[in-house]
Amino acid sequence: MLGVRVSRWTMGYFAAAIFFLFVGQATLAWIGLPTNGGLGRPLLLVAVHLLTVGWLTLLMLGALHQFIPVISNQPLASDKAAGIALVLAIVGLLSLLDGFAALAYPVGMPFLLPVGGTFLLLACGIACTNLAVTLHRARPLAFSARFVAAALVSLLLTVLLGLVLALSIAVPPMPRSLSGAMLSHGLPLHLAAGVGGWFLLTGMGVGYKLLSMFVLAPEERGKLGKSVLLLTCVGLFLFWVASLLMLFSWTTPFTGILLWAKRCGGLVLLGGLWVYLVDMGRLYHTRKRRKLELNGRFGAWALFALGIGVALLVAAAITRWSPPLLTAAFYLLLMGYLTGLGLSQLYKIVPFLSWLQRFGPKVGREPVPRVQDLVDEPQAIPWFVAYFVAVGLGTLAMIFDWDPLFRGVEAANALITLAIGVFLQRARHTQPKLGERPKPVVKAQA
Amino acid sequence: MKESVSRWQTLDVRDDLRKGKEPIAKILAAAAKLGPGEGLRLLAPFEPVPLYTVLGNKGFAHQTSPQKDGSWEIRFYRETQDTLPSQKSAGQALSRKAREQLATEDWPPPKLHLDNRGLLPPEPMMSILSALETLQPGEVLEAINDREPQFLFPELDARGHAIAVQLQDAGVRLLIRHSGQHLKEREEGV
Repeated sequence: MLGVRVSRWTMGYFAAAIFFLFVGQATLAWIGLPTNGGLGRPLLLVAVHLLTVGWLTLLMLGALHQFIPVISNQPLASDKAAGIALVLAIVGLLSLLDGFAALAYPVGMPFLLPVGGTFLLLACGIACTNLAVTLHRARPLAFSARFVAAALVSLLLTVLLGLVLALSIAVPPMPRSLSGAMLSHGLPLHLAAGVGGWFLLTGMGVGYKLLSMFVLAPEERGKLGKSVLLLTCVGLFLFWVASLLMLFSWTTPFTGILLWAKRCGGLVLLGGLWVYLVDMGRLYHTRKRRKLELNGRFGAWALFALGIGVALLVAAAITRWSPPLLTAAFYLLLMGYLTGLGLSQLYKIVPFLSWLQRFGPKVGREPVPRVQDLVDEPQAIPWFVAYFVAVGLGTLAMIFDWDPLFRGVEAANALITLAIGVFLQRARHTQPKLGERPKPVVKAQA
Repeated sequence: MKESVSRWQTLDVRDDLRKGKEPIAKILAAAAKLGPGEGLRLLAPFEPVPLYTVLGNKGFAHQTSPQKDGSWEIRFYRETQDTLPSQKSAGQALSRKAREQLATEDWPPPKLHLDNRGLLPPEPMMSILSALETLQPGEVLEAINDREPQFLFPELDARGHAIAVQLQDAGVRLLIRHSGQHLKEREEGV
């Protein structure tokens, strides 16, 4: 079969992801500021994993199962494996959440923590293998596919470390010193691989492809694009490997060098993100489509959030990792940049894929609606504006320690997610007015 | 490329299928036996679409031509990487399947020319599929797109149209030959 079909499971991934985003935001609204009561609070861990595993990871895996075939001009290696990975991931996430909740409430069983971690490792292993095989068949890799390849490695590392962490929390016979070391040093590694590697690299790669496709900008990013890839990957690698080596006692004599390497890695990564922002600015500037659709417009807002997030990270580093600044930076990266990008691109991808499934076979044979007819952008725009404003307020609430504002913001965001979910559902099933049959642009007739 | 095939081994599975026999093992055996410079010419009563993937995974490219009597002739041949057109010209990788189907020397000159550059996906696909409806079977349409229209290919396949893809500096050039298949279906009330 030539070309790419719509993956049967992508919409399932998206539906589950939106559901977990809603629940995650509602949980945050309930528990309030993350910095209140310590970052290790079980309910905070529940909320964080609802948002990172349930929302962002399912969203990205669902999108990748559709877009790796498009990026690499290859059909997906196995559509069935995509479905199996989804089911395993949901089972894994629910077990994990129950395991976390069990640490504080008599509602679950702590041993479900590593069980959930194992399921998630299986799910991600299957998904990564499926996607990697597809990519492998399409070598040499397209530019945006290289980001995704590095991101998939990071995903596996993240989940593997997550499982080790879960074991060190839930298995009492593990030597205290080991579990203590794992929690204090393993957690930053888990975070760096997850947020820095998996989320940021996927967001960058998919962002390059999707935004250039839908704002009609050149996909070839030249030297600037290559330096983004090089800087972010090298920076992450240095940071991560140095942090990992610092876990072991035999490296103590080299602590100075490792610390230096880690800082250099962090700086190089930040530099890469900065060049990415510059390049995305160039991409928008050179676009052929002047009037942006919703996804293009709010894609730019999400990139703006990335810029502020990077600035906050720098500020946090200068203030020797002040917790409010650091959590605000992570919040803005996850909820402003990645979630903002995710929601705004879903608003394009879901109608686009639904259109292909429902109307693709009818094009040319009978009048069909345009993709734009499946959505009502003027109706959705205020909700997206509200989302980004709310995230901005949420970030301020974190920096200035305003708990009621933060709760209000998260409650509002949960509602906004619900509304966007309804819009997307409508786009899948609406019966729009039929447009004119598109007239082909005929240049010359022989 | 197809041109490098000096000898075609013919395998006719029409009779087997008429008798309800599954010919896949026979086809795979014939493909495996092919020597250098040899290709497999398969005659089938319908277009054996799943076979494209099976043999595609074994490194075979193919070229399909519907016959006047309603049967299909498919030529399978091994891909040789070194004779492929440059992939760098348009700054993107060209799909393996697209590279396979460049042999269009027996096609008539294009009847219609579409310039789909600057259109937002899926508008190029809508423009091509709509324009195809105005063509007669056997006639060819030429379109220039910004990028390879991944989601168009399955649709063309389902409608039986043949396609050739070329990467150019200005974009992706597509040549699509109208099969007449679905006109026939429509007349028959399928």
